[in-house]
Amino acid sequence: MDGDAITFPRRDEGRVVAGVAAGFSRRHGVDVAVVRGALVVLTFAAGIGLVVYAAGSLLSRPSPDPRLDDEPTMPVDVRRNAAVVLITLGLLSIVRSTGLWLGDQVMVPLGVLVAGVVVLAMVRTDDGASTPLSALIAGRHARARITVGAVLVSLGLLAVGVGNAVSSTVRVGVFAAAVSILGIAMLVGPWIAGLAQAAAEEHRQRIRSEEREAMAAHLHDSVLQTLALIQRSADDPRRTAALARQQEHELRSWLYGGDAASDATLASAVTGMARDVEQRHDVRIEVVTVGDAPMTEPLQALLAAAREACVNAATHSGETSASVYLEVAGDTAQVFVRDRGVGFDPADTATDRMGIAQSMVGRLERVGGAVRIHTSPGNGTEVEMSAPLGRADAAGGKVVS
Amino acid sequence: MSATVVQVFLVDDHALFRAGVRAELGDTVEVVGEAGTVADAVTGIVRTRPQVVLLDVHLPDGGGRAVIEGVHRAWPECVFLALSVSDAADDVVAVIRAGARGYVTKTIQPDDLVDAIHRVHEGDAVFSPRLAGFVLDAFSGHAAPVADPELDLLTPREQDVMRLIARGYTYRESATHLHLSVKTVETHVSAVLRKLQLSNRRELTSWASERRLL
Repeated sequence: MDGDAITFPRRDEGRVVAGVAAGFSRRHGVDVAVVRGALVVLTFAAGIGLVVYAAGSLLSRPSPDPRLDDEPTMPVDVRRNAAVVLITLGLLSIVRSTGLWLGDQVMVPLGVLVAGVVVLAMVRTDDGASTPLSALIAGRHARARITVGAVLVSLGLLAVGVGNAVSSTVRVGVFAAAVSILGIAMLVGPWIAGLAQAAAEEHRQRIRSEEREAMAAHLHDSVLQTLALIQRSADDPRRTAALARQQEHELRSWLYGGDAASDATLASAVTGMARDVEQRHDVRIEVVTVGDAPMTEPLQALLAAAREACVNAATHSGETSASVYLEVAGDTAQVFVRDRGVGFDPADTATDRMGIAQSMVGRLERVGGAVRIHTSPGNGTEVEMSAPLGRADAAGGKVVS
Repeated sequence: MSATVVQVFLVDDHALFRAGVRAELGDTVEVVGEAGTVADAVTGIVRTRPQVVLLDVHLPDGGGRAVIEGVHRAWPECVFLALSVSDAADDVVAVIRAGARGYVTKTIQPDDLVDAIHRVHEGDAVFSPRLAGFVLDAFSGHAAPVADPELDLLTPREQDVMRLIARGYTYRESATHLHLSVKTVETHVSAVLRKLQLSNRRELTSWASERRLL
């Protein structure tokens, strides 16, 4: 999948046209502003820029889903930026020698102008600040970049001024515009920068206080209530332990769990099921999951079987703890429910003494799964259940529950 | 499980927890010192030279990691068993890669804690089922090429052992199930610990930066 050194994925986020420049820059560690600047300059050189862009779109793969994107990002390297600049200069001189050239008086100032804009633009992408103005002011090498950028832009404008190919009206117009922009920028620039910084700071403060309020509300609703309940049932150790355990799970998943929607995937459904059984039967169930998959019909059967195995471990093993291990690998999902309780004799065929009921075994086998039970009296019980992942097929397959 | 007395140093910023552990550890473990901060821990450990250090992951000023790094500068052979409330992957990975030989959560039963202390003292690694699950997840073969197969991949046997530990088997039960000696199982687990510590797999180095705690 990753062995191809030539193609690269395009990027939908941060794209201007088709994300070719963004994808290329991310893959090869070149600043995206440099890539775009090179393409713009090359476009003026007999349209080579357009050819390069078209070649880039052909060679690149479509942008991947950002959630599944595990493409490594090359860190931006000064040498790679320099390499792209040199390649661009080389292409420009090749085009120049073929005669398809717009003329030095146009191309040189244009090149200088584009270089200046690129340098200014690199300030923004480098430090990722919230507004371009605050980034211009606040970046690490901002002063150097702004100076170099401004000098290059001025040189470009100067070259426009002295070039013979440009008429005097255009020249006056360009200069007038440039001077006005500079003057306005100097007048209001610092003030706007101050406003931008103040707005960003207020935004940060507001986020912080919202987070604090959300945390306080959550803790009030859950942890404080539970602590009060625990104090009231201090004489009942099992109830106390159950309350504490339940609250621990909830707080832990709130702190570390992220936005995992429960029941949408197998791992979260199994975890939710185990918590539910823990609560109803006052036992401790430790869940370990490796891998994950979206819920489908066969996996629903697997989940139901696992639930039954957990309930039986809680009610028949004589122990107060059990462990659940889920592994999704290849195209199967396996669940192991284990307890260290009394075990039973597998030859005993009474339904309520089986690891899981016959009807559950049947249901699992009908969807292509299997059940195996390892047990013997005094040695605990382990129920091994497996089911195919059963991806919904493309032809309008629905998940039937 | 040996009957020798293991000298242990406790590091945790909750004094109540330290007192509780001291009371529970029984006769085969002797607590030779305690500390509640990184600085006290480093000086105390280097001075008392305990055989095992019970180390809380979440300490102010750098956490358990800072203690491990500080002590290993002066005394590289110190053995750490990490103890934590949280089961989050970042905490587990960070402290193991800093040099801990095992990781248990604070809800562990006292007997199991004593067993883990002895095991770490004898040179074995202690893997909780959740840590084993995480190892299987982190080392599962993605299509991306690995830089160093010896460090970045688990052998089939190591995968089998990790899978059994994740299923809740003890080392002895795993040994029986796989028809190996307990010593062999311990060797495999130690090898996996070494890979966890040294591998540069992206899942291990970038894990902490990709997760974000609220």
